[in-house]
Amino acid sequence: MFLISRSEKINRIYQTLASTKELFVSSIIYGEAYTGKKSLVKKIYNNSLWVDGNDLNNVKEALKNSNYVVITNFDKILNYDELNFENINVVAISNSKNMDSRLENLFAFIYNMPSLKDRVEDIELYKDIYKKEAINLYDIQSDVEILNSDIDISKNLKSLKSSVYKSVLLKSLREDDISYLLYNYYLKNFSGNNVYKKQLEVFEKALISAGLDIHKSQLKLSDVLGINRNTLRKKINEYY
Amino acid sequence: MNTTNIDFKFLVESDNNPLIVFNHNGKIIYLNSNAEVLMSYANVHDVFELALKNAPKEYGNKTTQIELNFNQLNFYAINVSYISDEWIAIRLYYRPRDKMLTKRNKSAEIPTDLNSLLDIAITQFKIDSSSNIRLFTDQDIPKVMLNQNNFLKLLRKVLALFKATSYIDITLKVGIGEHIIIEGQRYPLIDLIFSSNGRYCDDDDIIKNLAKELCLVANLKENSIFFEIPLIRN
Repeated sequence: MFLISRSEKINRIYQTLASTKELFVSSIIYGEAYTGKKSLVKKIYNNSLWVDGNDLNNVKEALKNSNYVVITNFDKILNYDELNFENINVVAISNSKNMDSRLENLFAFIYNMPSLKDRVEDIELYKDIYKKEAINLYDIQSDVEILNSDIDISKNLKSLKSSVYKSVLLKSLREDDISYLLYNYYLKNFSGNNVYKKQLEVFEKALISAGLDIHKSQLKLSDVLGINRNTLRKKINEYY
Repeated sequence: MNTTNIDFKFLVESDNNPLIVFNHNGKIIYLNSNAEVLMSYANVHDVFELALKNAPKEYGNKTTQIELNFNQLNFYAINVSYISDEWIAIRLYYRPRDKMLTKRNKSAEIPTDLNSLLDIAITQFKIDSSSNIRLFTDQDIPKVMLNQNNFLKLLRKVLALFKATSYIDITLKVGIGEHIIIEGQRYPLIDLIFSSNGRYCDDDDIIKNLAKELCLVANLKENSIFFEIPLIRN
């Protein structure tokens, strides 16, 4: 089995779902979006007929004509009492966070896919996977450190992936990339009065934040920056 | 009419109601074939005490209406008799089994390995439960015609009723000497028993209905749930 999760619960779901592959049984896997439900089902039921719950007629046709059916977006189906699961292997995938009692009575097996926040081991796993992908995609030659503060799991794997890619990209920028980035940013934000003062903040705030993180002391930082410590204090008060 | 040629022992032996004869110490000195089935569920001492408690005051016999349950065996009356101080006999009268009125949905039934389905249901249950499951099964049970989807639904719901318990004992075995009649056909029974030190009762009605749809006999008690599954092969 290709390791898609280090979570014991997910591996148990995989095993049970795989053991029902040849049975005429109905199962539903539900949970927040982008938790890996579809990938997990695809590994077992890739050869089943896949239909989208947004098209009820198509779902009914599939149930009539095929013995092995996977229904995605099952939460979009309102009249599921009309569905006939007799002598079919059905796996439904739903982005519902909760299971209502009507569905409880419709399916033989019900699996709850845990969110990423409840699978700390998978956050690390996917952070590494996405980092390698991003490094390969952007053709970066050196390793990039991704901090926990860099990642976003509010939308599970989707936001994790985008935050890791973004972090890899931003941390690998060279001076000419930053100049080009600022150039494009200024092109879009060159309006109104006091443009110099307003846009200077974009540059100065980041510079002072990084300097404070490195030197920890305003006095030391003012020396390194070569500006008066009162000027530095004034800017800190202004930006924070 | 001359009755000397009638084999009364044969009649007693083949009686559907259990008959047990004890000596004065409570030791069994005779039991008919149906009493053998009963004694695999009941305690000898308990049955002897039952006989003594309901014995007539003088030599003779006495019938008492009494509701008795030994696992899935249900009785509605007993008859206790003795004509000497050497022995006492008790006959228990089976409560007639409810007729299985549910019609089989043959189009939804396929040959099913009960042991495999039980394993899968337990694996699924264990995803979210730490209950210790002790499984006692007969691996030689033949495949039975069953609606797999509904049977697995039933198993999920039954196991969920035990989710707060520390252990669940599950027994799957061929029932001894018992049959059920469905649509005029007589089928032997397979016993499936779930027991623990307690359980929820929330879904008892749903479980009874699901069992009925599957043509199973369900017996739900305080700490256990008992199913009789007809051994339908085709």
